[in-house]
Parts: sequence; structure tokens; C-alpha cells
Amino acid sequence: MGGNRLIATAALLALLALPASASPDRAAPDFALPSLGDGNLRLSEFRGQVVLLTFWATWCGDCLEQLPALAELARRHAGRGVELLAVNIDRHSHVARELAGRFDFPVLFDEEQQVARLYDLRQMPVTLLIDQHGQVQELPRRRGTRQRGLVLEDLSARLAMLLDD
Amino acid sequence: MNRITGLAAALLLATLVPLSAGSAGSLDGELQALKDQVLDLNRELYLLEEELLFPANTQVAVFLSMDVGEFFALDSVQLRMNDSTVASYLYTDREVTALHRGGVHRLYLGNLRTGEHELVAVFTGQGPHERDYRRATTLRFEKGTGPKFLELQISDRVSKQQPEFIVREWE
Repeated sequence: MGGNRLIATAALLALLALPASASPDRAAPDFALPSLGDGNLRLSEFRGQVVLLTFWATWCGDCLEQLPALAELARRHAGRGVELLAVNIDRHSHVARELAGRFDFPVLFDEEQQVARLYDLRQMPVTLLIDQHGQVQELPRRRGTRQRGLVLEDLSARLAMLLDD
Repeated sequence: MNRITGLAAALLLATLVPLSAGSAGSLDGELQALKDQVLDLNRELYLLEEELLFPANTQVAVFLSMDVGEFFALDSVQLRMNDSTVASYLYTDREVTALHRGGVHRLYLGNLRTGEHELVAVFTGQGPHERDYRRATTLRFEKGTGPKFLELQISDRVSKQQPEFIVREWE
């Protein structure tokens, strides 16, 4: 019996010693931002739900085109705990606030772009899929307008996998 | 090297399978005990880390509490210590509710050398009649050789129908 415990301990320690790269998922950095109409929202308060975290700006045409499709995706799975959070990164959010009034999902405002830096945002549009445990799910890298449809397909497929788990 | 570690883990786990066939229940119990031990260890490591990063002789902690809050809807607090911003926190509705229920939030934990220091707390939110409200409060305090705990307290001043912001030192 003592041998079993030793082996189990060794196995556990060996597993703990595995590098982080063995699992591509990483914890989503927490943040709080003001939103339109819902007060301040904190990402960690959505733990237990799957979050589609998308960054957008009024000057980003691709982002604006993608938002309705993302909203539809979230709406389709809303009953299963899927939430879309759209972070606007305009330096001055007054135009974005007018636009956001038409949306039926939470829009957050990152005027100082602190959250954009926290997530090391290097391109637009970017949508991250965060699972029920607060881990960012690894998705294939897609670049360019032509691949926009694929991004949504990737998100949709991964979302379905997460919800079926 | 990583591959070897992974392989070792896999082999060790594979070794467990035949062993567990006979006494699955007790092994489950042992694994649960091990998990508990790992959690205990994690907690101890957290405490140790805090002790190392914030030794008692330099430790300063600032807490925020709220009493009733009828005249002030808290949105955010910014803390400046000796003219530099050390914390900035945005409160969600859920967090404000927790504060109303008697919760205390640790807003800042850091290190300061002994001597005199100045803390400025800037509160923003909505005051009476839902007007935007911004108020700063200052405390000059002496940091001795022990840890220093400060509390920012938001309460209602019924006689003036205004919120009140108090900073006090815990004895």
C-alpha cells in the first residue's frame, strides 16, 4: 500500500513537472471595465460560463462586420451559459457608445487600452474563447479578411466541443 | 527532457492501473488525500510567498469597507502613496453588494520603509441625487517596525445627507 502511495506521489510530481507548453491553454488575465448600462463588469465574475471575448473599435471595419455573427453565435448558445463580451478600445468612446446602444450584448470600454495591453493585442479583430474555468482556449491562427469565415467556424466548433464536455 | 518527464509520468500512471484494479476504493481515497495535501501545500506556499514578498517590518495593507452607502454608489477607488499611484480598482455591482453586506476588500498590499508617509484615496461614484461624485481623502501616517493596516471607510452622514469618507489606522 505504501508502494502505491509512493508511485502515485511520483506520478503526481512528474505530472506537475510537465512544462506549461504541454497544455496550450492559459489563464485569462482578469480585468474590470465600465460597460454600457451594466455598471462595471469583471471577467472573473463570469467564471462557470463560456465567454467570447472580442476586441473591437469603430475604426475597424472587420470588427464591426464580425460583431453580428458573434452575437448570433452567443445567442444560439445563451441557454447553455455562453456570454459575449465586446471590449471597445477606442481612445474616446463616445462614438462607440452610440453604436453600442444598438447591441444586445455587454459592451465594455477600454479607453486607456489597459486590457488590450494585458491581452497583448497585436491585430484586429481578435476574439478569444474562454472556457468555464477561465482558461483561454487555443484556436488556429487566422489572418486576413479572407479567413474571417474560418475564425467563426473555429470558434463555433470549439464552443460546441466545450459545451459537450 | 520534457518528453522524458512526460514519459515517466505516463509510465508511472500506467503502473498504477493494475494496482488499482484490486483496491480501487482505497486508492481513490489515497488520491483524494494526496489532492488535499497538494491543496494544503499550495496554501502554505501562498502564505510563505506573502511573508517573503511583504515582510512584517515593511508591510502596509489598505482595506476598504462600506457602511450602508445610501448616499454614495461606489464606482472606483484610486490610491496614491507618497504621490505615486499604487492601486486603482473598479468595483462591480456584485462587489459593492458584498461590501454593503459587511465585506472588507484588501485594496493594496505593499512595502514601505519606516518613517512618515502620505496616503491619498480618491473615490468616484454617484452621490446624492445620482450626481457624479469624486472625493479625495488624505492620511499622513507613521510607519513603524511592525506591519501597518489602514482602512478606508465609506459611511453615510445622515445629518448632512452626504457620504463620509474616513481613513483610519488599525491599532
